[in-house]
Amino acid sequence: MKVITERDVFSMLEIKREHRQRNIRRFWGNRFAVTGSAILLVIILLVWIAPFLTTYGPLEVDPKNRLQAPSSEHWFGTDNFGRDLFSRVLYGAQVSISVGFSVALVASFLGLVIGLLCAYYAILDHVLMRICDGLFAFPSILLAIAIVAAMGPMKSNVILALVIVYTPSVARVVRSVALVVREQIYIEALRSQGASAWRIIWVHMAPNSTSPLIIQTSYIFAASILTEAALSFLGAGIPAPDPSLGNILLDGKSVIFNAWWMTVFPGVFIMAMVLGLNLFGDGLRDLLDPRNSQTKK
Amino acid sequence: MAYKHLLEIKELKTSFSTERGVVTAVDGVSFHVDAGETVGVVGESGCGKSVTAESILRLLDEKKTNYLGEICYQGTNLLALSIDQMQQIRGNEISMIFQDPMTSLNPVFTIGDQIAEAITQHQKCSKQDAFSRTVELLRRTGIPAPEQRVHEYPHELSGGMRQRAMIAMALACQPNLLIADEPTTALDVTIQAQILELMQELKQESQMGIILITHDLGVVAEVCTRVVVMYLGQVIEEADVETLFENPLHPYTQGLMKAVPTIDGDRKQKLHVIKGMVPSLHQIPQGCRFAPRCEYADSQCSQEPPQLHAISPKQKVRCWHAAKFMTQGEEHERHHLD
Repeated sequence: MKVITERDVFSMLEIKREHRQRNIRRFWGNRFAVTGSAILLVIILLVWIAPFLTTYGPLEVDPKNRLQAPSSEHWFGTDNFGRDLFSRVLYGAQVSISVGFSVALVASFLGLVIGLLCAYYAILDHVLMRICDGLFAFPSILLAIAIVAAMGPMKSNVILALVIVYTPSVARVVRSVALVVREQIYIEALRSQGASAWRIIWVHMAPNSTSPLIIQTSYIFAASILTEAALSFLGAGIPAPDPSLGNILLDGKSVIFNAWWMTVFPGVFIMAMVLGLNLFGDGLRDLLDPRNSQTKK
Repeated sequence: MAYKHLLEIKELKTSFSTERGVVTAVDGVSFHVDAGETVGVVGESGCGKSVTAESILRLLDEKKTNYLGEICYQGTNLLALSIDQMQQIRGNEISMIFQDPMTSLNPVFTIGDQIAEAITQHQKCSKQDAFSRTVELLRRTGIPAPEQRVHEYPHELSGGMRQRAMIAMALACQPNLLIADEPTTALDVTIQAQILELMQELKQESQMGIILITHDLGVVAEVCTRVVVMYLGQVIEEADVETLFENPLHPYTQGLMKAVPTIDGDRKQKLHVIKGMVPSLHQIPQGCRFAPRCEYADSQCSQEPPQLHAISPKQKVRCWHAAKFMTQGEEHERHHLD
């Protein structure tokens, strides 16, 4: 009988550490992932320290200084009520990120549950997938507007509407992967050991179906930031006077020829966030793809 | 004992409803397994071996599958049990090993976790108990340094090691019957021999019955006590292993034996082939199912299906001309026993 010596344990830890280091190196070697996460980090940091960067509140009205161009006093200028645009854009970005993050989280979770159940139970699959087809048939913005219009423009309703819009696409992706996983021999082997359906779905199929989900989550994050901005721009999103990148754009639309800063800065912020998330998602896709892995077995 | 055999399959008929109609993959199969016995199930691909095995554990999609007949395990008909009762049988009373050890373990869990899960599935015991039993099982199946191996993921193990881990998992709850579906097909020859030897050892220790599904007659000769030869969903010959190898009565069995290459055979001589292919289950021949490929077939063969009949106490065969081959037995013996 062999006893584990201190050296064995040491060498095991050594191997674990090497694996971790190799994964870190692979992350740094991926330009998309690095650029994407750098952009996101800068924005999150800016949003986080916003209260310290600006002395003006996002709702502070100053009619005397309406539509001021960017200056050392107001970095991004002021809007048509004299509110500081820098602070409004940062608080607006905060709203966007919190909406996007909540939607990504909830939609991914629901999508995972629905996708796995659909892959395992054929009858449920027929019912839920037809509902998804129905939801897919609507343009996503139109559907979101309808839901928000029915329930009233509030941040929580915007999140709910976007969850309803994006869950079907996650469910589709998870279902397609889980259908493949379900036919794997290890699932049949588990059944031959007397594992229950519950156990097979949640303990064994779920972890094998999540890698495309992680990528999908980052795309949904980006898409819901865009959709939220569009909703707010159309007046069906975050209600004024609370700032949101979309409703700042809406305010800026009427003065676009006199005050370019009111459309350019929130626009750039939306673009940067979406670009960062998409690059990050592409990077993750490459990193998680086992075919690109250097650690082939 | 209230029951005669550990497992007795009576006239099992497994059919699937497909888009092209109902397909009967297993058609009236009967055989039995006793404790401490290894029964080989032999046949070409697509002849219903695996479906028979999966029918025993009812692993097939029940919505599309229709079972007829009986599968009696210790006197209870498995086909009449509820899903919950079936889950109690699976893994606990009857377990199964699969062909490809590369894909029959979940890649995201360590083998220790998976084997321990098989234990806690059926028996109440603490995590530590399950873990130490896992280590013990891995040691029994001949995995070196099991204390470390339990923490490894399937991809860190070789094919042979993985198959040992699979065997450990299948034996976790000391089943009375083990179904091995081509357990050595994906392994190289030396590992094959080790795995077969291991299965024999474990069988002797625990007196379990084994159903060994294979297309390798060498494996059959080595480990089986009785052999069931299947063709197109039917049993066409059943005999104990000595009788079958000395005197194969069905032309198909004879063909299978001739198709095995021998190391000291004449190299210039071509290997024997059974002409044609297993017909599709949609076009089952009217008479004897093997008739279109059989060199001895006559008009009777192509019109009337023969029944499986006992030709001696040790041998059953489904062939009209079996009696004729009986006399030729001696000649075959000279040819094929080297």
